[in-house]
Amino acid sequence: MYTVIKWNLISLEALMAVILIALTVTDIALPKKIKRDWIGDFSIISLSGLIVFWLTQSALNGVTFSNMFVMDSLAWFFKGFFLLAMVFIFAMTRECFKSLGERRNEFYLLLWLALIGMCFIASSADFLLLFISIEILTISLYVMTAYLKSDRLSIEAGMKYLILGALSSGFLIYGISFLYGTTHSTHFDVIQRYCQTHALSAMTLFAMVLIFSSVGFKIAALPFSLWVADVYQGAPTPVTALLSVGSKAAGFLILIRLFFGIFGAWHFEWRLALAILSAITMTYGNLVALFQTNIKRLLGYSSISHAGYLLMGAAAGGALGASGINFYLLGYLFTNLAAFLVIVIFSITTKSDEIEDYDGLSQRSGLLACTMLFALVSLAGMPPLAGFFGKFILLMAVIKSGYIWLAFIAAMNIVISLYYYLLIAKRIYVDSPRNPSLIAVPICMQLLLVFAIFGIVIIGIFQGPFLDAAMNAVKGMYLSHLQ
Amino acid sequence: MSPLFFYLFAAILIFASLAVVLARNPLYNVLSLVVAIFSLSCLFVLLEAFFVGMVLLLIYAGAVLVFFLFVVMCLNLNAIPLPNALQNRFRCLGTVAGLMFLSSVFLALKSFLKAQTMEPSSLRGTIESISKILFTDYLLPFELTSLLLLIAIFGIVSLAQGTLSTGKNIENP
Repeated sequence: MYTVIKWNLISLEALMAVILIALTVTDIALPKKIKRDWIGDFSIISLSGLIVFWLTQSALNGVTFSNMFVMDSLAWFFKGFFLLAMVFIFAMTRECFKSLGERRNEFYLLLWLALIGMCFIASSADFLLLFISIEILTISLYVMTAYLKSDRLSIEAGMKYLILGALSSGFLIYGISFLYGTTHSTHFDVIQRYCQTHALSAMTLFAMVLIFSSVGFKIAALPFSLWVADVYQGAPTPVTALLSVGSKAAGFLILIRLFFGIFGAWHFEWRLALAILSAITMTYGNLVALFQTNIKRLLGYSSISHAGYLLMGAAAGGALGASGINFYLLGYLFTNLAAFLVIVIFSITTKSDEIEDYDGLSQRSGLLACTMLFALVSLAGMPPLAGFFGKFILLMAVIKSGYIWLAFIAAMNIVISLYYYLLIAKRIYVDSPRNPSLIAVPICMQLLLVFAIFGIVIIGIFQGPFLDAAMNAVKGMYLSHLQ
Repeated sequence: MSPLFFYLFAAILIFASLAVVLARNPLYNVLSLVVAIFSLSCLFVLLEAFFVGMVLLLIYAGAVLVFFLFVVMCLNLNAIPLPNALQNRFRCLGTVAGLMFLSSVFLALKSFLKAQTMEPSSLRGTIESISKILFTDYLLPFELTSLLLLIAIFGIVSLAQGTLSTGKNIENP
């Protein structure tokens, strides 16, 4: 009567929950006015421990908790992705919030909660669990966005994100309820069986559109990306980094699970809509990014355009499209986090996020300028770096699936984006600085910057193992619907 | 016995709901909403959905609406007459929304009359049956909601604590 719970499948999340509780207790027990950042130190150490533990889980496969929790290759891949991203974000937080005193401790706990939410999103095999894990991620992001409460921009960003996020959660649960009405279940396996035996009806189409619009909010695809620029600018920079990498990856993970898995049988009906959406999203993001003067805002619009590129993979479909998305996200992780690391260190010293203040950065700090150059060139998609090969695979997938026009639009967009990315590179290397004082970079940040550059270059040059990882993640997917 | 109670509570529900919309004083609006929810929970109890009835009473009437009441009292709201143009616009929107609602009620009635017999739900709304499902099939989502509460606590503690200086303040002092 009672099913056995396979604890080894959920051990990573259980360990995270234990760490979260331990940190909460430590936070309460620690004496006030303590100088050393215990929570931050311990968080980074335990994250590295979790990454080692994650490596041992690669062969895990199965479902538990009455088919609600799934551990498969896709979940494994993305859990590693989230853990790696979190290492960067915790390190950024440690630097960025130094002056915040004990208030930063709760921020670390919220980051842990966001991580747990993302890992559960990766392992959801039921819409109810998926909804709750998305809420765990999103609600902790609302709080973190508004965290700098004496900063008007941060409060405004938090408010905007809250209102639009609540709307998108409403869309999601409304879509799920329609799906439940037609299929009488929230389990992914039951819904997939329904999709394979039934044609797309008005009600299921409506449900799919609603669910997609909520995912579109997460990945910042066009009609749902109104929040991006203001929230990216106003939120504390580590949160912006988490939004642009973690939240977006979680969105694409849901997209792969839903639209390549359980709704896979209906892929043919919605691919044209996705292709059009992809074209509009990337063009809009790139055109608006041309006129930005704030670097976080610019990266916000650039993240919209990257959502457009990534949607090409979804439009193309098939194993190549899905693994293209995975590979692109992997390159995007290192590239975007490198850029945000530079922004964090730069803004701590100069208290500015304006692009014109980046003039002559190369004379103020060689390493920062070099990292920013690598990140910008990789974002633009220049040959030897990670960004290039990711775009290459996605373009290949799109051409193979017959959307030549979409590949053409994407190529045009890459040219447009080259202009504004390289304009910043020119400011950094050619222009002379207004304030020639040097920028000090702490030693652990130097290590992280070098690691990020290393990642960008290695993924770009030795694509093989990373591409294999991306392919394997899709191949062993639970309820996969790939030919 | 039971039909009598049904009509009694249904009548109270309808009148209380009308009072929610029609009363001019916001305090009366909220108080009539409490009455409406009370009679609604009574209807649930008549349907043997004891748990839903109790939850409705505890959470909505007990917690949410008391908050509403606090807000209304703290803000000392008075009925402010709307400007005429705005009022007309609301009337137009109200008519459209009312017509849409009526048509959906009509459709629902039609399909309800078409349905021959309604089987009683095998899942009785008792605490026992709900908790059995909650702690077996839906254990994981149920436990995860505790994390949502944890986020709420952290959020309140960190955002509502007294004014502290922030780490990064770019443009405004």
